[in-house]
Amino acid sequence: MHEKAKKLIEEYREYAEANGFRLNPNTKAVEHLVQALLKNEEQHGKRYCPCRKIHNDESVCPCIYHKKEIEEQGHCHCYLFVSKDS
Amino acid sequence: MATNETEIKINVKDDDFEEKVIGQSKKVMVVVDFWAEWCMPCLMLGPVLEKVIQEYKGKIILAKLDVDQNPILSQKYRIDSIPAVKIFKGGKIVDEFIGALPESHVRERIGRNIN
Repeated sequence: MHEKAKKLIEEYREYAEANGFRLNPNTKAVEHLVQALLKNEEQHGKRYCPCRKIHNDESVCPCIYHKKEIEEQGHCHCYLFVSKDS
Repeated sequence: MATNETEIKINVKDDDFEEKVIGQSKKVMVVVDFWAEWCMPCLMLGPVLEKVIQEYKGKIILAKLDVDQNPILSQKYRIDSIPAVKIFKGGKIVDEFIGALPESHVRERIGRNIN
């Protein structure tokens, strides 16, 4: 895994911890998602969620939906972030 | 009815959707899975759909549509989030859901529409 991906994973980990949830403990899933985010950044200009096909500021990771999704479902839609007790 | 295992799961595209989904749904129920390779919940839901649908032994077809490769249909069916599943019967959508539902929920949704 290249340095940019590793750095981004760490950023998201710190973000999750600062906001009361956590990164998905499945490291393979996280790597897959981060690769997808970086791919979207390269191709479309921003880190759009790989599971949302409308590319606007609302779907830039972390998207505007993630906190509510984590609270209601225990995870954000793409499973990058999960609740602490999930 | 689909006659053998290889017909239960098919890949569909913009240019054959009409025949393979709309047309076929007039004979058997067709469950369309809108997915993409980079979408983690899509990769989670896929095997669950296959497992549940296989149990119906040819009464249901699972049609996989890669949204990244098929923009026309993705737009036509207003696919904003994936995985998105749409169930077709008689040429029309009779049910749909979004997200990687647990197997029990998938089973219930498929079961309620098969009859």
